[in-house]
Amino acid sequence: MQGHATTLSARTQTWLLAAVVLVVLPHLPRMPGWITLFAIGVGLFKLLLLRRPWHQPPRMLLALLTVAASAAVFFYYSTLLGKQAGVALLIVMLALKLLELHTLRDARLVIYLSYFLVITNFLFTQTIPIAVYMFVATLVITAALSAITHTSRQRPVGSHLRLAAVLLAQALPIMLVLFVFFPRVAGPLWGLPKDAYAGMTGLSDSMTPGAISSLAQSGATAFRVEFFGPAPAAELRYWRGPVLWHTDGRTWSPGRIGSYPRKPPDAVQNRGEALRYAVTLEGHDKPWLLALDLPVQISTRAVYTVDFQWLSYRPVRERIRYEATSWPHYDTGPLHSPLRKAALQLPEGVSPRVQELARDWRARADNDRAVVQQALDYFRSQPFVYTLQPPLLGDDPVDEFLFETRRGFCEHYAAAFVVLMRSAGVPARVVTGYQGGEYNPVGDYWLIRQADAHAWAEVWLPAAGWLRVDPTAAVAPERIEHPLDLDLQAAGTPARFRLLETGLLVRSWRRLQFAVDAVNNHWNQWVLSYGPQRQLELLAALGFRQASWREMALTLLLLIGGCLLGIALWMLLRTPGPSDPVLQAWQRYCKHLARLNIRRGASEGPRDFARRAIAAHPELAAQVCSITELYIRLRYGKPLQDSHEVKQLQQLVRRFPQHAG
Amino acid sequence: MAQNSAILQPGMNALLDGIVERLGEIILGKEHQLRLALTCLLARGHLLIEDLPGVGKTTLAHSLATVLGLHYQRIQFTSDLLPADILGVSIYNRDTGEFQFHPGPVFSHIVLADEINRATPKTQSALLEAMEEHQITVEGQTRELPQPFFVIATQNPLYQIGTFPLPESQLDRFLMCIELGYPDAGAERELLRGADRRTLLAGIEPLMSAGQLLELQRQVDSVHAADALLDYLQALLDFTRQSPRYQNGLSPRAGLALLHSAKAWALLAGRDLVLPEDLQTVLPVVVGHRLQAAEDQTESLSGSERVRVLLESVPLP
Repeated sequence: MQGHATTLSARTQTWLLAAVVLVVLPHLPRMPGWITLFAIGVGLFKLLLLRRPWHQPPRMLLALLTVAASAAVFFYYSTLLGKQAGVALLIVMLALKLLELHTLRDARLVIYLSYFLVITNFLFTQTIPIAVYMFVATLVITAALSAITHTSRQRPVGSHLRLAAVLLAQALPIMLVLFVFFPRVAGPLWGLPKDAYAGMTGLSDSMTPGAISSLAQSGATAFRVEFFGPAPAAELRYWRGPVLWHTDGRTWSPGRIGSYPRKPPDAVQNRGEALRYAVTLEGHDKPWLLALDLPVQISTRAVYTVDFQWLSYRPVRERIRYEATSWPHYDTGPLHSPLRKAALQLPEGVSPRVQELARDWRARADNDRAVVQQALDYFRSQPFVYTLQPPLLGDDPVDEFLFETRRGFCEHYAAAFVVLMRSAGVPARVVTGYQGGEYNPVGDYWLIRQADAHAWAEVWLPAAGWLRVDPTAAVAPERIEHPLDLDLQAAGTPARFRLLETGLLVRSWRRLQFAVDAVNNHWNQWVLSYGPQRQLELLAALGFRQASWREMALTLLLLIGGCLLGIALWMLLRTPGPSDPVLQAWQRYCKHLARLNIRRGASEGPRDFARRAIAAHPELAAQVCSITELYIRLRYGKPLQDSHEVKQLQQLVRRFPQHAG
Repeated sequence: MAQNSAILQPGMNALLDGIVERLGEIILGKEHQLRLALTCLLARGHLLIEDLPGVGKTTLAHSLATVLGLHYQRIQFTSDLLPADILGVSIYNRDTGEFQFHPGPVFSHIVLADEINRATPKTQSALLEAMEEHQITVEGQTRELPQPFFVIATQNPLYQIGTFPLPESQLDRFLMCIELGYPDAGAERELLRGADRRTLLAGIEPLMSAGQLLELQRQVDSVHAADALLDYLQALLDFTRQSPRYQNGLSPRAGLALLHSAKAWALLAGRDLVLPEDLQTVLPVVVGHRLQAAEDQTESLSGSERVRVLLESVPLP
């Protein structure tokens, strides 16, 4: 192969180094320290080699380094597969390849590896900034490809970048067509590595004291909601998540009974208006689809459970969007005995103090509703503190919390309340989910963060069915109205909330945050969550009802084929316009004159043409003279160095009167 | 037209303009032909005038020589003219006892070869070689011709009896071939009314010297021909080679002749750059006698028509 004989110039190698640096840079924070150090070290060494042609590292040493680095990656991750280990291995190899740039083939390998490594960024994060960054990186890689290809002449840096930009711009339509029409299948085509979903946060299917308060310190987005109509008030914005029936005194879990399916809305009666809205849920690796209490309908394929949850068939691992209908005021009707039994389950060894308290309430009340009221009064009157960092609790957390520490987050209150209710003979259960949310006026949607995670209780009352009771609201009513202020929490102190902010600076800052989140939301909605469902919707709108895989593939093929055919025909049939700006300006001027009915003959020279034009339109003599004179000087005169006169000609032609005065 | 620019107006070279004006006083109504003749001279080419007797060919040659301050000789070509009659002969000098060379009429700045196609090919070629080489070889001795050296040949229309038509290769040696034609009515009236041309000629003072002419000839070379113009020239040449209308395409020598003539024409117009119009102006006279219509062409085109087709077929961007 001829390429083997080529030795790459320092300039070319600098291009490759720049491309590799750009590609590896975003990965480095995710990599263990030794890989970061290794990559930076090799990069600096390469830079040194470029500036001072020193001894190239011997082949033996490189081979040894390669083996050692692969082994290190293997021992660090105990595998070479998977997202982290795979990317680490690629980075190490790419860095080492830089020390072995001898032939064109080496350079090509570096380029192709770089293209691949750029894409792996998307396995970790898919935000707009990273997409923009990747575009820039791709541009530089393509420019490097141009630099290794055009070795015959020394071209300026800008020309490679320009060529790369043109190439990318040409690829853009095909990229868009592929994006829209490439058949999307539910779930990945091949199994993603096991660790692909690590780091997804969200509600868990069990609740222990401290579980929600730790989640509540995360500012990450849980989901976003657009209401098709006015949004409900804060006290109604409870987003229903897992319902927990069973407790062992410390941990709450769904129990078996809760996940039984039922037909929506079953016996539930609407006691108010229905709310319709769309939810864009972040992936959280669990099946539940969060919806406003009480959800009765959902637009995606899901199961409705006996405790009014919507569960997806498989864990939600990527962002999905669905529409739902909820009845904020409802009556769930009678309670069947197996459910009643589950709703009265108590752990073994409820402490006598707790039982005493419950018995006391029962004795003083004539119905269940009064029991609930007494419990809320109890929470309100006793010195309970709502805090994000409650003290640790021992073996019997309910007893300890109720009578000793009296400092807790929502899960403490909900758990204690439900235990008390069940002890008093009132069917009750814990519901986890989110409460509140923040309105984004820029994007007109509600943002619900992990910090809005919440736990509350539901009791069943004979006349009303399941009723939501939030003991936290009795202790800290502000919690319902305002989001937590994550910056102001200290251990053991009462929780601080974000109240009205009046400062201009603070308000502008909030507004900017809203705007950024709104842009992100659009990106999520239209780019990242463009999945099979959205694709089907779009194709249906375009007239492909029930488009099958095959039809989509065919459409894609036809579209791309059509594109290429069009380009080929265009290249074949077009009359190439002049690339010379002087000639372009001249021909524009001729067109202007043609509109005045002075058409230049096919072989008419500029001077003859000018004479004819002046004879026909003496009032244009000045312009015609100056344009013709300048044109002749530029086109037929001695070549000039500066482009100032070209600009002048273009300006004159632009100012040329296009209609007869 | 108040704002007329240098490029749009011809005639900014005062010296050459004066010459054209003076010649115009003698040869009436033929300014274009006069300019072409002068152009030919500036481009170091030779001129062929194809026309009937009595339209002023001799007057043109004579007045040109006089105005330019050049030495002038006329040779009447006849069928019995011999090469030695043109080049000169060596005659034995009894006093010195040696052969002495007597230079022929070719040893002058401007040679008018009248009715060149009446002489035999042998005699014709003697002159034509002198034209090409600017030197002659007589009896083994090479002699330089004076500088500048300019031949104006006239040719009778070929249908006249007793002519030896110049072969194509010989025609190629002439840079230009022009026709003088009859004067128009106004010019003719003035001619009839005015003084005798010979008297006028006798009264003419030279306007420049041979040295100045040589300098002008050198200036022609420095007239700028841009790439765009060369593109156009090449497109013209290429068309004659591709088109089935013509027997043979134009030769590279024809291309050079075109470029030189255009440059000289531009200089005459006082410009230091060649315009496509310059090329178009000299095209008929430079190309007309070199371009033959193909034999199988049913429509037989005259020289000027052949050139017109060529001009219209090659677009100028």
